[in-house]
Amino acid sequence: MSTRPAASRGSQRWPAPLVGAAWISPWIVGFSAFTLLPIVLAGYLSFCQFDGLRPPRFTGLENLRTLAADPLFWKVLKNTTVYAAVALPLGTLVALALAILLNTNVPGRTAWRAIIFLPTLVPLVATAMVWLWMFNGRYGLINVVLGGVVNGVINSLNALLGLIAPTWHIGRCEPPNWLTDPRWTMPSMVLLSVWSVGNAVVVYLAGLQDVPRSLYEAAEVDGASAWQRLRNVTLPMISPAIFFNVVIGIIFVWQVFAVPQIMIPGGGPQRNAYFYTMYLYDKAFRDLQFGYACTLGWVQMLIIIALTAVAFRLSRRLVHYRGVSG
Amino acid sequence: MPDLKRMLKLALAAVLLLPALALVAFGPRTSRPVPPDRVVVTYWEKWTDFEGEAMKRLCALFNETAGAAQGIYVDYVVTTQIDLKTLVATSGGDAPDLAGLWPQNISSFAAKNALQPLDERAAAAGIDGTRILPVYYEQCRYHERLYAVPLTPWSLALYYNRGLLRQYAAELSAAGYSADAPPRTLDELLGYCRVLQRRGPDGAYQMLGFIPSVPEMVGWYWNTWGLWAGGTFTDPETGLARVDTPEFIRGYEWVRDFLRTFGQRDVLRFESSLANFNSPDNPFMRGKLAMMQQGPWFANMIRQYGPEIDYGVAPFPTADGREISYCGQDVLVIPTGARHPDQAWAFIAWLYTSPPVVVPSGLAEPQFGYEYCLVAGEHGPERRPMPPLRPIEWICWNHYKNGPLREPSAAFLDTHPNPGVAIHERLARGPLARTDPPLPNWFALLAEFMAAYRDIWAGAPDVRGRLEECQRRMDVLVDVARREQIRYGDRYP
Repeated sequence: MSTRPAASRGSQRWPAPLVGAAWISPWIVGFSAFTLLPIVLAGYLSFCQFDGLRPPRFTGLENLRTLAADPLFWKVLKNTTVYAAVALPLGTLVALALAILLNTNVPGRTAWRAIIFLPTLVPLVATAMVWLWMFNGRYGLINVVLGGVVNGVINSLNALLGLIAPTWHIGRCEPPNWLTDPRWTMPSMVLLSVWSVGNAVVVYLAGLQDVPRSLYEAAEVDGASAWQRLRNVTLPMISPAIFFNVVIGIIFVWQVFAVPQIMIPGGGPQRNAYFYTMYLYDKAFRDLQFGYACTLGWVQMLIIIALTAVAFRLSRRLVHYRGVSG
Repeated sequence: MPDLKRMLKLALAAVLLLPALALVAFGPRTSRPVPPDRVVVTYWEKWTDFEGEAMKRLCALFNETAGAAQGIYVDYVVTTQIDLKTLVATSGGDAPDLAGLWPQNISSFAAKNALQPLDERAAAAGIDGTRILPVYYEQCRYHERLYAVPLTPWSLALYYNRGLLRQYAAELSAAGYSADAPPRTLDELLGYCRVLQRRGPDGAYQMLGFIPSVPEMVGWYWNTWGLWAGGTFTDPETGLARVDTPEFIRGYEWVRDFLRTFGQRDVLRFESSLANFNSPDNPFMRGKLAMMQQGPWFANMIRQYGPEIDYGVAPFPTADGREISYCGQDVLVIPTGARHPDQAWAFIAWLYTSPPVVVPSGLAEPQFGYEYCLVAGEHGPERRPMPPLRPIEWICWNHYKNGPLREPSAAFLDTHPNPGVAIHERLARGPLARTDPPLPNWFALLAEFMAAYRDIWAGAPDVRGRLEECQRRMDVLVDVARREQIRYGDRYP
């Protein structure tokens, strides 16, 4: 029989809630000082003119009025909405597909998992620099591959067409200038977002491995096809994981910043890849309009909260917890 | 067992604690112990590499001479994102004593009371408009007060590869141009470019005479095209930013015409094939570009990465052939709240008023710019001892830049490592030397302007319409800035 440790003796003298509070107090202090207080102060400053040097001047709703009339605000809002609307579902689909593939007995499964997770460990600046070269119009890997594959197909088609009618001919494909052509800046950022689905894949994999085999066996006995098993067994069973990833995804895509800021500062031509957080940063640290930037920040936070609330609302119908629906 | 557990815990704690204690006891110390009884002037500067080394050496010389006599020690601290960090430090009440900012920061910081006015100190030391070139001196002022002192100024010019032009001498001659003289007008520049181009087997450009967006994508000096066409950034009557003037429209239509002449898609593809500016693969060094819009520091890059290149420096081509230049500088400021403004000023004053000095490199081998310089001789460059220079000229010399003084010394000009220094000096003295305007929100306006340029560079056909749209957006930003300044009892511009 061993003696009880000293900590337990201490907890007998102090009420349990106090001990608990003491243990989490470092986090509470940190959260209050570095997150809660800045949020509250930003709330106040969003009603002020503040340049970081002179004392803030209260201006009431002026920042909100400026925001409503600011065409750039609407532009970045639209860009970010489009990005979120495409990147989030695309990322979810790709991550889910990869997770389902990795959950099967593919050769080298462990290696594949590591490879897919690896990009999430790469620093954002390094990611941006690598992709700058990947998207390079002349020497970029994407265009080299794209040009080679597409033009190879076109050459084959031309050979076939030549057999039918010698005058028929399909022109060569010119891969896009991804980062300098206004039509391609947004798609390039969306494509890049898929690069870091590794985290979501890990969560989906954990969810998939938790699905009871008996459900699949029962479905097979009932004659369910692979698609029916996926739709009626797998997806409902991992819906909590999907919901978690979607909520996290909403928060992340709405705050997309570092990679486009490095790759296409200012959002490129026609500002088609100028995102909300980039504009917020520019207003604060380039234009020194911290008050207006705080307004932008609060609006962004409210949008994210609203979208998350919608996701929670939808989850009541779409997410199935073990033994409980919604 | 419990004892073993406790011992393990203690061992783990020791393993974690001991390195920390060792670090405190034996960890790195400052490499330059400050002599006793000195006031330490904290000097934040953006420069690294050879530029930073030169400034460090100059600070060391001050610390050993005038600084020792006056009880001052200048501590050179390399600071990235210097404008933002100076702003945050000043806001937090912990400003450096000296900061090396960009000129566009002056009006922005001064409008927010973040800089100390230097008029009285400058007048007492004779560091004023009588000594400093007007284009640089005026850029250091905001609302009739002096807030900064020029450190290393520059003026933009055309750097051209003379050897490459001579290779195309016959074609240039057939087109009515000379391989021995660079273009003087924008039309001529386009004409030279028509000749100086080479495509590869795949039809992609391998060489172009010039490209407006280099160095780096979109370019450093995308904002100058209105100036080359004879415009100014501001309306002379109101002082407000104006980019929809006929001159600006003409300048940016030239950029559009350039793209149309050489094919926008092909030019952009060529642009994306060009390597980093600050590397041996710089397109000028590689013979991919025959001409570049550049500042005097480019001479140093050629010396490093392409010493064999036969190059020349000329005023940048303009619409009507008049000599126009875009000028800028690195400046020194004393932020509000600096603890040692008198000592910081003593260092600035020494830069300008000290007798000529020779700055030792501190290395065993004689170093270029420190112990020796090169001057043209009968059989090529000859090595000579470095002549004594005033500190302000010495730092400009070592950065390959022109100087800020109205009357540069003969030694500065005669031994200068940049063969184009006379051109840069002349351009800075010219009546059409332009700078960014002293507007507190210039960076915001510039961002709007840059967006317009990006669109033009991406193929927007209606240059006039795009610049007019840009002007409307700039006017809104001006209204916001004016309201802000009025709220604090100030005026705009």
